[in-house]
Amino acid sequence: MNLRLAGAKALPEDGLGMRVAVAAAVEIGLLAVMVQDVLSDRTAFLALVLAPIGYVVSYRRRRSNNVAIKVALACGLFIATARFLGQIGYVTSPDAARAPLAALFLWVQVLHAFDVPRRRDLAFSMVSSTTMIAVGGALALSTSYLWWLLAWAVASGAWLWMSSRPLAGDVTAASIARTRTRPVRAATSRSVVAITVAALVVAIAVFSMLPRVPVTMVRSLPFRMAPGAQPAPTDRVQNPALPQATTDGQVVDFSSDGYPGFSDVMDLRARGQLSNDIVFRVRAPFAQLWRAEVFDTYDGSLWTESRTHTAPLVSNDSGGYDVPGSQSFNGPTKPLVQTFFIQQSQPNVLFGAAQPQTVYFPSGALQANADLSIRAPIFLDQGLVYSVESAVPAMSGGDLARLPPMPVVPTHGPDARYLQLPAELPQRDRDLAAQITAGTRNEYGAVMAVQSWLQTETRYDLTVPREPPGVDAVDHFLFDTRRGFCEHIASAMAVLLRAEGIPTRIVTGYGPGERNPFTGYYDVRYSDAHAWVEVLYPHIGWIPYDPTFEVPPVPGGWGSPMGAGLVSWLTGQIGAAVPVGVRTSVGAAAHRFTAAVAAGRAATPVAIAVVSMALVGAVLRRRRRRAKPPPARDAFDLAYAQLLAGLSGAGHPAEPSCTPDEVLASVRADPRFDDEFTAHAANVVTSVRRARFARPEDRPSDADGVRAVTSAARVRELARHV
Amino acid sequence: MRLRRRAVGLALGAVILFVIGTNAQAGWLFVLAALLLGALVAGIIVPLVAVRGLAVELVAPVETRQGADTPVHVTVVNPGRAVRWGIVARDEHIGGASTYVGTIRPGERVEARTERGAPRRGAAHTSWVELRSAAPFGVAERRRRLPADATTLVLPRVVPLGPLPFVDLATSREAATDSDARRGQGPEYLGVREFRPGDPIRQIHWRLTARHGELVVRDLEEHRVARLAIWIDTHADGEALDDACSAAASIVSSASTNGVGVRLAAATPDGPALVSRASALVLHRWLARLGPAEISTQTAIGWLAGDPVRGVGTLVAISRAESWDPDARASLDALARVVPRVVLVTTGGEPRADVAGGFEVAPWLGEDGFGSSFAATAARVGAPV
Repeated sequence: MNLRLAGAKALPEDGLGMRVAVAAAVEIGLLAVMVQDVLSDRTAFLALVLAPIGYVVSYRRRRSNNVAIKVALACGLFIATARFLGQIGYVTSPDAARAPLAALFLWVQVLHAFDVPRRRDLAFSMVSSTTMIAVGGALALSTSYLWWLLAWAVASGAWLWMSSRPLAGDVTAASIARTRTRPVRAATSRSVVAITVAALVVAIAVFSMLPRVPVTMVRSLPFRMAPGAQPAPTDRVQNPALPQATTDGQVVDFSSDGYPGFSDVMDLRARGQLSNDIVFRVRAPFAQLWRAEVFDTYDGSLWTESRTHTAPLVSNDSGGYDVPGSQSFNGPTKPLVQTFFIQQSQPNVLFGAAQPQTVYFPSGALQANADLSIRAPIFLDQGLVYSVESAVPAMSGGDLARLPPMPVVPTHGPDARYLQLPAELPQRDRDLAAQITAGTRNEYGAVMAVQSWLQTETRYDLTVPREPPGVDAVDHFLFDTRRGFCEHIASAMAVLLRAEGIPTRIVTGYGPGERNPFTGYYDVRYSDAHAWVEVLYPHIGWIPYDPTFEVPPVPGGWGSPMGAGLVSWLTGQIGAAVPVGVRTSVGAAAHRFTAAVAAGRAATPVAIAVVSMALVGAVLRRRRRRAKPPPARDAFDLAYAQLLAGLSGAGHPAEPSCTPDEVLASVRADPRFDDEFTAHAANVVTSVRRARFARPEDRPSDADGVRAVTSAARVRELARHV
Repeated sequence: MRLRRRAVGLALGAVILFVIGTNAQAGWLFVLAALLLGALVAGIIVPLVAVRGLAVELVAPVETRQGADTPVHVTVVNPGRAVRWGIVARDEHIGGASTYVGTIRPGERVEARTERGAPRRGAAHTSWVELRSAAPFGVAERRRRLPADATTLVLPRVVPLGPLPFVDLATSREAATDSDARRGQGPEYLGVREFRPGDPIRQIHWRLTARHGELVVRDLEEHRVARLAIWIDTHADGEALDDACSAAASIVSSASTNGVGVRLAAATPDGPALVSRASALVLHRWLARLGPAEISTQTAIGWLAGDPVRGVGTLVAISRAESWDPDARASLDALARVVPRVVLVTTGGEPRADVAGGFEVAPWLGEDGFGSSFAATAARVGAPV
């Protein structure tokens, strides 16, 4: 809306190109918000159509007072606000208010488009388009939003460019005459490219250096139901991607989109390959393991839960659900707010960082067991959004190392189940545990010793064959294969620590995933399904350990710069985009080349040297061929070059060895050149001589340079008629 | 280098987006913030080189007249190999102008011609042209002054007055003080022409007549003598003095057109200055260069007694109405006793009633000349109109 003070007359903006750039930026902003599905189709369509119409009307009536339009716009604004207030009364959470809020903003933008007569009004439009593109960015989950951003950046750059010109009232009207004496190929496009590249390079550098501060202050956490959510049993975890577990000992293998660890059992005999599809995206200030299920009982092949009792989560005043027993950790913690955006259907178990405190979920009847595994009454379907507040254990290794030796855990107490081991566990496993932990002074030392041993003595291998029937999976892993994947490595750690009297439990969930440097979300894939260990420290609580990949550290301070993961992310994206065959071929060729060099064949260095020299020679030859006369250093150089070009054009080429005075003498001696021609040539030569050889105080001024260029231009003109 | 408000806007926008992005953990807001900062930094760096390596020339006429449209040419040459964007050329010559030259491609010569109104009288000298550019993003502006000389003498504005009502011709040449526009003394030779009936015999140019075979006469200047002196009060600020000089120049032009010689007098910092026996153009140039002096109006009038008004039939005193006080009136009254006719021309309005004396008063109305007021006044005192 344009509010003009009485008497404050400003010139309207006549630049059509600038208006087109602004309208384009606004339309892109509108579209960027619309594709995030927060607006109704009708609102989106009307806004898309009306905004450009508004800009056209505004342009055509830019010199009018537009009183009627202003009144109509005020009415429109009133209606939009009333509509917003009407809708906002029915929302159930702050997150749900974003749709009416976005609609209100869109209508304000559309109404504003009808009255933008001046450059300043167009600047307001650009501010609002920036806001819209930011709103779209805050809602966007994928990297494809980059295209919207780039399109908007092009339109905004065009606006910045055009609006950097002075206003018509700020400069004097002038008649401009242009004379081009020395055309340079593609000079304009090269300059535009150079400026664009400069801006992008700076933007990338700035982006890479921005700190990703590991905090969040959002208190109205989003949650919303997926369309067509399916009810799920609340007494057990059910994984819809897998066949129902059987009781006859049949192994349920991995499917590409179903990890068997998200069910009532975790079977160490299961094998398979998970796909790389994204399961969910997590908005969180730092990475953690997203835990889902907890198992405490091991029978040699299966991990199960000994206590299936669950308790309901109690709703609190903030619209969330408090997790019972979540305050049991007695060490330092760091708050972590996570929001999960489900992309692929998942079982009815909630994922979240360790020590969940409060859950914001679109459905009630959440249940949690004693190990803080939370079950939902619905399956986590695509489109579901929920948030979790956790208090992640942040106790340092140094603090844990200073703890006194742990007391013996009573074998009949509440924590005894975390020490359970199968009766058939071979003695050699217990002996190995004692051997590994020998010399450690406390629980932390034993944990570190076992983890370190596993990391150095075993190998991660997804292709390890299934264990023979009747064999303890952990014993087979530790003494026969020493190859396995996260389930085997975590189980081995849990068993070895239990053998030393340290309470442990197995946790399944997802690894942190890969942070997309642009969206800021952690993209978690099926293949990130993971198993790790939690260790109970008496009087403190449970602390996670991942002997396979390490638990992501809890960051402090300003966090890491944005660019830290940018290169690896880009490399991964490029690698994923290259076909497997090409990757394999390139890898094989590189391998062969490396092997040949390593073998020290005499021919290889010679061949490399010959090829290199040939390449260098070709490059130099090409550069020499493309070499051009050195660029003019100043106006006098330019003028002299033009003089020589003019003489050459007139059939009077000057020898390269001639001095300017010799050139002038030859011009004077040529009867074809009239007095005017000679006078202009003399002016150029005299100026060049003075510029190069006169004392500093006698050197010609810039104005003389202009005159010399003008004379040279005249020489070229006259030369055409000689 | 000057930052514009847009720089603050971009920086502020980036900070806001960064804070919101951090709080909401929305990664695209960081990208957007980086884009804004990228535009900010590039918008500061690029103008640094935008006005380098350019050459300028400033061409202006040697003389012009105050208020007249005067063409001034500013030429910018780009001898380099890179395009220069968004160039604005500014100079302060005779009123000054900022010209949007725009893009200058490599090897291009751009000549911008502006018409300027020459608002002030006097010798205008400019030694620089300022080039500036805020391209590509209008974030920061780089300015650079390049040497470029131009000198123009701005003559006072002349208002057509027609025949002057207060000029009495001298009764004889001996009684006159000055002659009109021609150099030398007395009747001057203007040229030759064919004889017309009525021409005096003594004007026949016998040698040319013999050569051409028909009567050829000398065409002599019409010599009318007058006793007009103009005194300009220089105890005034710039614009008031411009008005006074404009009034004086207008009277000079009118007198010259009517063959009336004029004597000019004024107080300068070096003492009283007097110019006579000169053409109108020379007198206009003298007026163009006349500067203010810290000498009171009364003192300056006092300097007129003696040679400056000897033999003068009419004295026109041009002064600012505001500075006309009883002391100045007393001085002019004293002169009115020795000069047959004294006219006070006031600029900036009419003087107060209590300072009127034994002389006529005519307010100068700028571009309207004397308007109708002098005619009424002149009629009242019985002068020929």
